[in-house]
Amino acid sequence: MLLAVACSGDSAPPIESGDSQAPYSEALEIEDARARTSRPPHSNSAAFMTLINNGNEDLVIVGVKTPRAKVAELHTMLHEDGKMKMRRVERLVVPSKGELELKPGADHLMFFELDKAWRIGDQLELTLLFAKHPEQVVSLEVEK
Amino acid sequence: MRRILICFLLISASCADEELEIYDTIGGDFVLHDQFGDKYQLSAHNGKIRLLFFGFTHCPDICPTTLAEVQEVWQQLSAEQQQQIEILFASVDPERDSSDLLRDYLGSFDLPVIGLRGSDAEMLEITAKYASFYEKVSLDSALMYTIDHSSQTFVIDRQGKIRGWVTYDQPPSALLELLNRLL
Repeated sequence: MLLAVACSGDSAPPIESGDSQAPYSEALEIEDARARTSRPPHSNSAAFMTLINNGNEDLVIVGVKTPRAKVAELHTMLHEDGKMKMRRVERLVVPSKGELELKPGADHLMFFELDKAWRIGDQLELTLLFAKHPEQVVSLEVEK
Repeated sequence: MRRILICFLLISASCADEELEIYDTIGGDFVLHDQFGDKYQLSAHNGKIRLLFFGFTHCPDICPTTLAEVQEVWQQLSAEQQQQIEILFASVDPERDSSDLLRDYLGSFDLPVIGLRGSDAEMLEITAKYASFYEKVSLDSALMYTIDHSSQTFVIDRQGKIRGWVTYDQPPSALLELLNRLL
């Protein structure tokens, strides 16, 4: 399923360089966006999606926010000799003419101090923050 | 043609009957406590097939995904098959994973999981026996710290011997295939 994304009102200017002059929201497609249900007693969860960058510039995600969580972070998972090592990262890059898959066991978005439990079927809105480009609101559903 | 067909059938039957390897050099008995505070000794539950995973409840990614995949496999088994299997989630975060916390967390899955906990020394000894690993690592995150850990789900037979394992990147069907060869 292809999910449309919308620019928020206070967004930064569109990209200024590159061959494409289209607002970058048109260059970015987001597929398969979903969040994981939270598990009591913890108040944390994660979200995943595939970001497709049709533009001529890399898109650098530097943060994420949602009204449904006080804290939101970018994380990755390193696989070394059969060991899984989760680490917080400062940025995630969606390469030009390429894609970034946020998925379990790899790069993903993490949320802490949820407003209340994220239950299966809940509809959420996340805002992705980019280094040079306007922020993007993503709608998604909570799954198991 | 008929001879070829017979040969093919014989080879197929041979593959299906091939026994899973017994991994004698790793694994073994252990004693921990479950999420209700009761003692759990692996050997006391021989007769059941066990699935053993080392994880921690603050783990927001690998552990819930693994449990969700085990749940997917579980739902493909008959009630009679389910009765022959125990699912063990052994915490490698002794500092945070209390019995109460394990009980609440595991109770949120539609799966009969036995949560196991012990001291750090006990868990280090057990994970070493199972050729596994865990390590507490400080994190610049709301999580405060995370646990680097191995991600195998071990399949233990009715005699308490490891007969195989699946890694995180394998699909649930790989676990189902292992189980079907022991059931």
